[in-house]
Amino acid sequence: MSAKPVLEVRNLFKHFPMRQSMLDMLRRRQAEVVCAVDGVSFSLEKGEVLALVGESGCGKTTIVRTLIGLEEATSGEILFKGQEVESQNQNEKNKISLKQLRQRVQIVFQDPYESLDPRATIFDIVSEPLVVHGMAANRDELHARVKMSLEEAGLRPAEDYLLRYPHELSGGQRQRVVIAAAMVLEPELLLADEPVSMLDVSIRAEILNLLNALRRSRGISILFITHDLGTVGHFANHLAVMYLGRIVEIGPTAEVLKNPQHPYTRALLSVVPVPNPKLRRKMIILSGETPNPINLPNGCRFHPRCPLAMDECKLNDQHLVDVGNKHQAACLLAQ
Amino acid sequence: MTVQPLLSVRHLTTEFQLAGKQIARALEDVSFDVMPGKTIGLVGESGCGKTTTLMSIMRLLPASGRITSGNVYFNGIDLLTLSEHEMRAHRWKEMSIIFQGAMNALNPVMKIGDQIREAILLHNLMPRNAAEQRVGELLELVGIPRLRRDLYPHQYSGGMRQRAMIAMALACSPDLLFADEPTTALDVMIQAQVLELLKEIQKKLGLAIVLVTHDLGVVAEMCDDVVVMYGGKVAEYGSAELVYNQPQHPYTQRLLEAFPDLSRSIDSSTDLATIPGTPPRLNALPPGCRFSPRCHKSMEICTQIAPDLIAQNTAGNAQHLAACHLLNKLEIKNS
Ligand SMILES: Nc1ncnc2c1ncn2[C@@H]1O[C@H](COP(=O)(O)OP(=O)(O)OP(=O)(O)O)[C@@H](O)[C@H]1O
Ligand SMILES: Nc1ncnc2c1ncn2[C@@H]1O[C@H](COP(=O)(O)OP(=O)(O)OP(=O)(O)O)[C@@H](O)[C@H]1O
Ligand code: SF4
Ligand SMILES: [Mg+2]
Ligand SMILES: [Mg+2]
Repeated sequence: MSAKPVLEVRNLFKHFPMRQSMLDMLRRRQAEVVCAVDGVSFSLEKGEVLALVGESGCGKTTIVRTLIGLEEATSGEILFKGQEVESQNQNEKNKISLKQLRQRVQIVFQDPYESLDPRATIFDIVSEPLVVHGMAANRDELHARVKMSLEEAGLRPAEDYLLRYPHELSGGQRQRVVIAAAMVLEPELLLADEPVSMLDVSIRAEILNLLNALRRSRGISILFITHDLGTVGHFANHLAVMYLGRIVEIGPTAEVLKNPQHPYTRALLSVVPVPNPKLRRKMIILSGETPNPINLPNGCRFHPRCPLAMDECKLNDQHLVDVGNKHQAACLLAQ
Repeated sequence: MTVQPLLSVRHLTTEFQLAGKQIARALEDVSFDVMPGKTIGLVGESGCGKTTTLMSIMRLLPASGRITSGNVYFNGIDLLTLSEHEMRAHRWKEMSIIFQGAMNALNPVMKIGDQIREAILLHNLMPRNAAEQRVGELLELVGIPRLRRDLYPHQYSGGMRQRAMIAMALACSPDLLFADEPTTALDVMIQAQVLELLKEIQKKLGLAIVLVTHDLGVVAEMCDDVVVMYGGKVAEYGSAELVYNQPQHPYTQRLLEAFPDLSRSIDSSTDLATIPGTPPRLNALPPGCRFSPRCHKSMEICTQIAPDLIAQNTAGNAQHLAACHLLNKLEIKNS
């Protein structure tokens, strides 16, 4: 029997009610809802990286926020190592509490310039999670663990960094501090929301390699969020493509990238700039932006922008179907 | 008949005055040509001098910045010899710029259409209703329906705001457009839309474009020629095909290796190449080649003498230059 996945998400929904005007309330109009996450399921095994890719507004960050209880799921189940996560702080029996979860699951956000307190030293920043969770018995242990985490994040020797402030570090070093602070609690799962989007090529490669090394040495699992398919090939072993609150294609990374089945995945792949002027090819540029998930189209929700849409696509809402090799896609044409 | 360059930058050197009488040499001996109707890319890591190059050419440096030597020929006239009053005949009217991050600096309490109209009136003498007519034309040129002129910046998406910035930069029908990181903050699909728009406009208006970005993929998709900058100097310069397919400078080679390229490999088990170390600090530049502290091929001469930018053997009339001692065979033999 294989071990339970580190993270399992089953049929997750997160709808935000829109604010209503007084008049609409008096008229008893039904409030509109934003269907930010609309029936998402996936699982993540120990030591694996799952990339979640899609355009701005497709619901990636909302999934992350819901996973660690910053938003309450509208419905659906979240299981951490087979144990259900309580929805709010209600001390439900048999469920893992949010406080416990936040020790074992950490987040890294996009912007290394905004996610660090400019008035705190690097020591303060990295030791804070340990202090908050009461995880260090004394000052010596606190110091030791902070140093270990910094060195593991490639900031060596750690002593050189402890008393510095964020503005005294380069962009790559700052993102390493963010990662050190996330790793200091020795989490089993890292949620990385666009961790390298703001960084230069060489720093980006460094950070991706660092995350890869942590995965290998610690067996940590990573949910890696990005809008850029370019970075996932070298990093993630599984890939999920999201469109308007749903996963429209999922499978092993190489399989999905070499044999994309959903027209949306093909379009996303075609617009990744290739660093070779001889390989310029026709891009499939979708017009408009990801529509607002308020008035969802009938049928396949991609049909209004799909270059291959047929009449049936306007009627049938497609769900994920197996296309072989652990690869699934939600398109009538997929097989 | 040979076509004359629209813009010729020669030996441009720019310094900033820092606190305590320190001087930071942000640009040294930068030279390149922009041909009419063509696109040239300036690439390099953060801080290598891309924005400073544009600001020097446009003569928009802050008070602490000073061009200490060099020439900037635009249509044969050396812009650096002009008075500020004479410069105004060229700036915005013949050459224009989309500033880095400007789409996030639009006036939040002024309608987009009004902001474009003010930009037109600032540089052009024309009656208000003619300017209003031009606002409509410009919006259509960048693919925004005229009716949207009355919306405020927060009602525009990121992609629409960047289109509005392009419209503003084109207000006086320039021959040359500088675009400083025009797509860095956008997601890949919107980036593709904006780049496509720039290509269309270029074709329609015969515009020359200087595209500044740290994304090697974007340059490969868009540019005829490339300037690779490192620490304020030109490391390599030439046609995009030659620079990408036969990179000569170790820095260009490393930069390309560090860039994740789906067309080359999809393999999550191998690490990406990185460039150890960080770019030099401008007030503590290394002697000799500026890349030498990070270069895996560095020789003794590299730490002593700065290499000149020399022409590489190329077939036909494509040009290709690089500044590295390895490429100067004679020098190596003698040392
Ligand atoms: N608190 C909220 N109230 C109402 N709508 C929300 C809220 N949070 C998110 N949304 C909406 O939900 C959708 C998904 O947003 P989300 O931030 O998850 O997207 P994303 O995929 O992370 O996008 P990006 O790539 O821009 O970060 C968007 O349409 C957004 O406007
Ligand atoms: N006003 C200024 N005073 C002092 N130094 C400056 C000033 N403006 C820029 N510099 C320095 O000049 C160098 C070049 O900066 P520049 O903004 O041209 O870089 P860039 O290549 O555009 O970088 P980025 O990709 O981050 O935009 C940097 O080291 C920067 O710190
Ligand atoms: S000159 Fe020397 S240090 Fe500089 S890039 Fe060439 S080999 Fe490397
Ligand atoms: Mg997000
Ligand atoms: Mg810049």
